[in-house]
Amino acid sequence: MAAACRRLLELPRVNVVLTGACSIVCLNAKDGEPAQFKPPPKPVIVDKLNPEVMERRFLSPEFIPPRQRTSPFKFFIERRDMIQRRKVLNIPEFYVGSILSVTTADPYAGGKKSKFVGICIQRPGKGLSATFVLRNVIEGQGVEIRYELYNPLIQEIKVLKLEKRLDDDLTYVRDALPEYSTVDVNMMPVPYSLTDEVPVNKLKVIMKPKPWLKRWERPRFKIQGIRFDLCLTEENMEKAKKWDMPWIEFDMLKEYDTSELEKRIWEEVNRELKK
Amino acid sequence: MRLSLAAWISHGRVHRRFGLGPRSRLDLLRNLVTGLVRHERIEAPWARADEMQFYAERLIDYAKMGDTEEKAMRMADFWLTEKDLIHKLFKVLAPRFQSHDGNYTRLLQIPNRDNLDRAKRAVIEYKGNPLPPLKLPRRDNEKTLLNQLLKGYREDLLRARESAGTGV
Amino acid sequence: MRLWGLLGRSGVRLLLARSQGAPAQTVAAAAAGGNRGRWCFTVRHINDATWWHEHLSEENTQFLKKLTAEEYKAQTENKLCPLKDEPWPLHPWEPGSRRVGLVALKLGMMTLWTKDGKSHFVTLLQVQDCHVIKYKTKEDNNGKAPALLVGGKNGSSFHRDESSMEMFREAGVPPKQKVTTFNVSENAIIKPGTPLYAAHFRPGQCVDVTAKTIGKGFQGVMKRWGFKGQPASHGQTKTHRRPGAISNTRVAKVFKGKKMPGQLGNWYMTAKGLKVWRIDVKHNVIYVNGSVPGHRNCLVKVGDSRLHCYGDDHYKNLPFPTYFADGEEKLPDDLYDEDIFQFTEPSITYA
Repeated sequence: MAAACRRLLELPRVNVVLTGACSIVCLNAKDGEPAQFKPPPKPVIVDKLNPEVMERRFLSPEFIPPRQRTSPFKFFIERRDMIQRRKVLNIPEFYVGSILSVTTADPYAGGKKSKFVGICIQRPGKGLSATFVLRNVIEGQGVEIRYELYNPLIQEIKVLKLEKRLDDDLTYVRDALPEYSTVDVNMMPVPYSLTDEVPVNKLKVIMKPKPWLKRWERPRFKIQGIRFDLCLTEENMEKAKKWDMPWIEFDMLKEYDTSELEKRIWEEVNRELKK
Repeated sequence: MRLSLAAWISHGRVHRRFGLGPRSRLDLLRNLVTGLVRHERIEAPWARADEMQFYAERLIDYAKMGDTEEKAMRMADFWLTEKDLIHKLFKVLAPRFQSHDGNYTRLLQIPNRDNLDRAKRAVIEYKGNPLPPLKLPRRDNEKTLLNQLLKGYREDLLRARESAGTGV
Repeated sequence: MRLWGLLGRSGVRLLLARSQGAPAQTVAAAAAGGNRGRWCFTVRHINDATWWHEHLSEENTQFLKKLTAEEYKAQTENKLCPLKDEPWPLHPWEPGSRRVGLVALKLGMMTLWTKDGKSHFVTLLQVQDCHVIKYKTKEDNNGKAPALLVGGKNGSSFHRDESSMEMFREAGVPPKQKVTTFNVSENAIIKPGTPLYAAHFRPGQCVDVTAKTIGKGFQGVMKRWGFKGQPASHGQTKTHRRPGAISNTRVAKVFKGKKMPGQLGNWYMTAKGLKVWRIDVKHNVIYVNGSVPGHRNCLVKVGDSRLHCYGDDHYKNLPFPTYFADGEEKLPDDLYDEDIFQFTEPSITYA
């Protein structure tokens, strides 16, 4: 682990990258530099001063209905149950790239409960059947668990570190070096502010040699977070551009503007949650 | 996605397939849109005109965002293959439809093509153009017996309801 | 031309009926009761060639649409208290009775969880303006059992022939998009015009759902019957998805019913024995276990399951002949099966 840490430190110097990456890795290594450790108390004070006014507006992505010919009434019915469940269980705000710890009821585990800590790499699904995938590397073996967000077996969802990454889908970390999906299982939660913008971790991962699960260099994945310069030649990147479809963004039939819808749903959800 | 009543059981089909592929389809429609912006009224096969109507209207929506908007300018740049029309789009068409909210175009069917394939033809135009007006289907049937009887009944009903309202 | 003439005549008839002060009759020439279907916002087809456009002025068109909508509403509200409106005699349940069913709208699917933590995918069926339309006696029906015609979801009276309009007019309900027949027992008949609700079914019981499946067109044997096909390589020439031999030389013929390529889908199909997990009494939604034939927003026929395995006891405690909203039974907003996890409960733990 220390070796991994060192290798990261040798990367080109982007400060944000270093702090983001090292706080994951260094906690394991127990030799985190004090210079990179941010003292937490400041945002907490802001929260206590005015918790209502400044709070960040956040609508969980599963509330936004997909683009299809389903009656809006169906989504309303589903939303009612989702809100009801959210009143019982606190489902915090989190994004792909955040580090979560999930406790579920498990009849076969000791203590009838099992806890898993990992990095969230996907959030697929809409409505009541929305899921999220946590990934971690445990004893050298990559482990992924797909949780249903509204499953009644879930006892607790805790955000250990709130951040976004450059991409909305981190499936490619399966093909990256294991250190990028390794999280310390006993990690302490990093305090985060409820008011400021969510920090974006601009970490770019280094991939294992090919073959990969998918050809991530293809333009349709629009991947920002991979160091392609280390694993692919210029020629390969040129070849991948053959699949680029630059006219797609001009096809107005494919546009789906959810801003109005989002606003309406956010108001409804907030109103119902406060009841 | 076209969410119309007519396309309810559409098996996922949201648009017609033209040309040699998705790129070719957009190119074809792009030329039609350019022609429409240039002449403000064009004649085309009905299917193409129908397909194009959506794009022609959305282009006006973008133009109404103003020429300082980068997305609008990129759209105009793509959809108008003759670049002198970009000025016309932002300075002539966008102000014309500033007070309108959709329905910028008019699509009318004209007699089928009679020489080649007897294809269904249509004429499409931007509303408010300086060309002589199309001969719209006339609906001057106010004086027919049916309409007059209905009108009388309508007024009777209105009067009856008003008197009932005042009575209560 | 025939249709236009028909509409013209009915329009005039409506007018005369109104001016004589006759009681509210169903408007024959009427627009769609357009309060449903808000999600269809772009109807892109200009159609100037309708009877309305040719013969009616703009104000009269709007007036007739408004009038029809009002009339539909009034008709529906008229029928809300069937028990006070000279109901037909109600009989108690006895073994072998068969109840009427419903016409419902398929909304889509979602997940529900049972109390042991297992997830179940359920289909949401909404009951919209479901009314009993007509009673057919045993002799009129098939000589074995009487039948009730049930219609669901208000529709347009365009493209209806006079006989079906007559049926709706007699029942005093707006014309329906779908009308189905349910064979019932003698003691389960209901007066035409009675509204039916989702609470007609109860959680825990099993239902049969009939609908037209999604059409897939002409398909080969692999998709249609699940044949295995042939290998992709190893010397195959043009034989990858073909059926192979269809008979042998000994019998020297092709048996009837041999599985062959052909039309797949777009026929009526019944999903049998689906358990009802939950009923939303307030919004009239039935949550049925598993998938149901048909596409989203299609109208399906829901009835008590005809599978023999459930026996008579399964149907003993259901509302008979149906659930009346103005009856004595007061229901909560949601009815749950005893196994289902309700979202107001705390999370499941294994002690």
